[in-house]
Amino acid sequence: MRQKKIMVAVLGVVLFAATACVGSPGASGNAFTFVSYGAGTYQNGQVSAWVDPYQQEKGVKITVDSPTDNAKMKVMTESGKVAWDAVDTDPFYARQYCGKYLEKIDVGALASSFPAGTLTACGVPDALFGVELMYNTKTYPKNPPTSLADFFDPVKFPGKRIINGNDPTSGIVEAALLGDGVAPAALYPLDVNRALKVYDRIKPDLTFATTYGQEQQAMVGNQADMALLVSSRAYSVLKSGGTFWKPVWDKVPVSWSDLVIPKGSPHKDLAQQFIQYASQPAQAARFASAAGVGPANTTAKATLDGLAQQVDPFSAAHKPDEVLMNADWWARNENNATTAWTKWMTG
Amino acid sequence: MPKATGAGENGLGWGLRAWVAVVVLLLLAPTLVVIPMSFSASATFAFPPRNWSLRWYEQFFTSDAWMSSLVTSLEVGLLVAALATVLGVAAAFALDRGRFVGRGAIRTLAMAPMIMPGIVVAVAIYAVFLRWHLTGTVTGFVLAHTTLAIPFVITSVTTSLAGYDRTVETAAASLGANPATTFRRITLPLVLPGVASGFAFAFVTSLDEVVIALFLQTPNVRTLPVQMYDSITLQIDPTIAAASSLMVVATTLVLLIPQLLRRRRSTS
Amino acid sequence: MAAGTAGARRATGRALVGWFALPATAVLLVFFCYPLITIVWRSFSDPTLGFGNYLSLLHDGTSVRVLWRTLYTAMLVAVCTLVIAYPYAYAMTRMGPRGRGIMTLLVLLPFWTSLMARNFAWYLLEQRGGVVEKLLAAIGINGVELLGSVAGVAVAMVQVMLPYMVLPLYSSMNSIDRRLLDAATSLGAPWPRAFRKVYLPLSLPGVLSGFSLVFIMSLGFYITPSLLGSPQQALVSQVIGIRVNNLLDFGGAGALGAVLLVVTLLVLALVNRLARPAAALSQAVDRA
Repeated sequence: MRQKKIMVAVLGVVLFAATACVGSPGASGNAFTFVSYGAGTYQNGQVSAWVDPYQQEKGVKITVDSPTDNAKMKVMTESGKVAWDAVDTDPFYARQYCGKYLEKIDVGALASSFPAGTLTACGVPDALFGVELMYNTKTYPKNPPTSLADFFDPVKFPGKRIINGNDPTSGIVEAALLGDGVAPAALYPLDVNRALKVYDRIKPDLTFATTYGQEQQAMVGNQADMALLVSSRAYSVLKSGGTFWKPVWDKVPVSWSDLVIPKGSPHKDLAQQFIQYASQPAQAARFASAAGVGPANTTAKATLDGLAQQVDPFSAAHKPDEVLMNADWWARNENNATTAWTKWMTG
Repeated sequence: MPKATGAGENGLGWGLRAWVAVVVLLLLAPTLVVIPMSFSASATFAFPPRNWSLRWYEQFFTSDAWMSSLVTSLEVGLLVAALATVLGVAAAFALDRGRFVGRGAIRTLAMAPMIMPGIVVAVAIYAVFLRWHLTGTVTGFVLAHTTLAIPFVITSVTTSLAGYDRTVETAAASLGANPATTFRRITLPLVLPGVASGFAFAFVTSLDEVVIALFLQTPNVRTLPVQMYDSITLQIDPTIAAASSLMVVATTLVLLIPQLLRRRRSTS
Repeated sequence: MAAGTAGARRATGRALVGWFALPATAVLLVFFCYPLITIVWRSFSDPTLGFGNYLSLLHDGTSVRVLWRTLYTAMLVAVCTLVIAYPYAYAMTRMGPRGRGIMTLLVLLPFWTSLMARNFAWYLLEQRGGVVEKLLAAIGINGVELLGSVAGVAVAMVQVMLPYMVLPLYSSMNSIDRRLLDAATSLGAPWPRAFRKVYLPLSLPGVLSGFSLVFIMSLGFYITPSLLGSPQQALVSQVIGIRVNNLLDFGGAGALGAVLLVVTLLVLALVNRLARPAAALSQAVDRA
């Protein structure tokens, strides 16, 4: 046995020597880390529209990490080891922790190019998206689900549902209440407990993905029958071969994402320049077209391909069904809602 | 006695033989599915694969993320092995030779990391390392893994210390060798196999550790098992199948080669 | 005279050599014990001083259920591994040196194989449309999806834990004098009875150390449950992980962790006189 163990170590040393030449990524002065939600049309769109051209134009090395994780971001600031510089996250976080966990961002002349009420001192909007219901046509070839209420009805529609359990702020709480018959105008303040009771109905059939990437791949891999997911991911599903998934058009909770800079980022100037670059009309339009999201810069126009159009909640036809989120409610109640959601989820 | 064991071997009933076969299957077969998986051409985990390719091996050896996690793992592993061996060998000598107050308590303490619930240890170390700014540093990984590795080194060395005849040392001393010479010429060569095995044990302990590493990781300092974990939980990245297969094959070879060599030696 | 000085030298040497334990002890105290004490302390002090975290465990409606589920699963895993491993370990003792070497190797292969690789393999087998589902469907059991269930976690854990059961069992059985069993049968006792009356009691130390080792390790096992389980059927380790990762709730996680620590220490205290699981395991691996 001993001989074998020694050989394990020898093998290790050899491997180490063999791979040492690859080297670990150094923290050079002209580099920073951009963080988004993980491979899929959304992050890929950001990379092709912002990261790649920016690297070429400015000679800056950008490392892309994922997924965004607000808890981790807090920990980084508190522990003084901030490894993320520019982060794509939800707008409530930017409102809640401006100055505490986040740096202020100066967007200069761009300040007026965002939809009213979306820009804040620490968060620059970069994309609009909706939460959509999709179903697997292999499971429901006839009589498919037609409304949010069907998602929460395990008797009429038996089957496995999938949601991202780590992102309760994306609009899935709103979706449950809308599905339970709450009128869009009466949605806020959100009755989180009622929403959890609605989810209780399907809890045995529910898969909690830990990221959107996992949710998307579970869908493409035929591992679920119905899904609630953000529209850019719906586009990812179709693009990566999940064309047997179809959207159900009911009310669509609409939210947006912000770009933020964690407090203590060692490259905050670079990150700010990058965010300004990403918010230009040309870049915003390129991103929106590639990712199938609504551009945050109101002067930008996205051109969507056929697949993106299938799941685009921002087309004229679906305009009346959009239910815009109340970011201020979420900023005030995000902690409690997330805690209630997480405790409910694990049991 | 040899006759008795021979009789025993022949005496294994069919039921027992079948049971052993099933257990062997259960031990080995499940893990082997990673090998066909690694040659899949598809970007999903659909098993068995329909089309074949080497793309995931190519991805493993060319991707920055995978290669740098491998380098980090090996770097941390070797540092842990070195540190744990030094600390563990010293402690094993003290526990074996020393007579002092608290020896029993220290022995218990030295075994504790093997038995305490993994997740609790991980979260506890994470909480403290956050405050000490040790998360996401090689130092942090090395210190955390060293605490897990020390017990293995101590056991290894203690076993070899207990297994040899102390009178050799006494003889050397009575022949006029001073303690330093005795240690260098007699004791060290005798425990060296135990030390080497402890070193290897410590290295593998660190190389395979996931839970603490999951909490301590940052994008710049991420070990191979964490990269593998992420490639299931964050987004499906079949490169994990290539990484797993390489590890399975490496382990098997390392365990089998001495066995085969020994057989050849005995037959020739 | 010479013997006298040598004896005196050895006595001082024995006192001095004790100090060699200091560095390892210091490292373990600072980087292992201190964190554990801190996390337990935080369960009483974070966010407010008192028993708030423990009371909320009792009253939140899920934690108690999760704890029971964890104890039950760990027990189930330990029982299953014992039942599977006992005959195997017994067969090992009946083999010649070569057969024994091969059987040991077969146990050590998975023991040394990357934990992540083994869990990934189970992930593949248990997924929807995976091998396990197809096998079960072939024998007429349809629609069983192991991934995401406690059963799926337990099955994988049994396989992962098998070496931890076989090795202590074997190391204890190996020291049993088989002639006792032969004597009992030659005196006319039927084999099962002889086995039960003679062999089983003698193998009990191995059973206890293997059982307690697997039980304790299963309690705090994180990787298998978090990869193959689901939040709805969470084990304590998953809840601790989610509380820390998603909520930064070190107090609540600490309280759950403290419960696990107490259970672990209780089990250890119970079996300590009969077996020392950790030492038994590492010695078994080392000797093999």
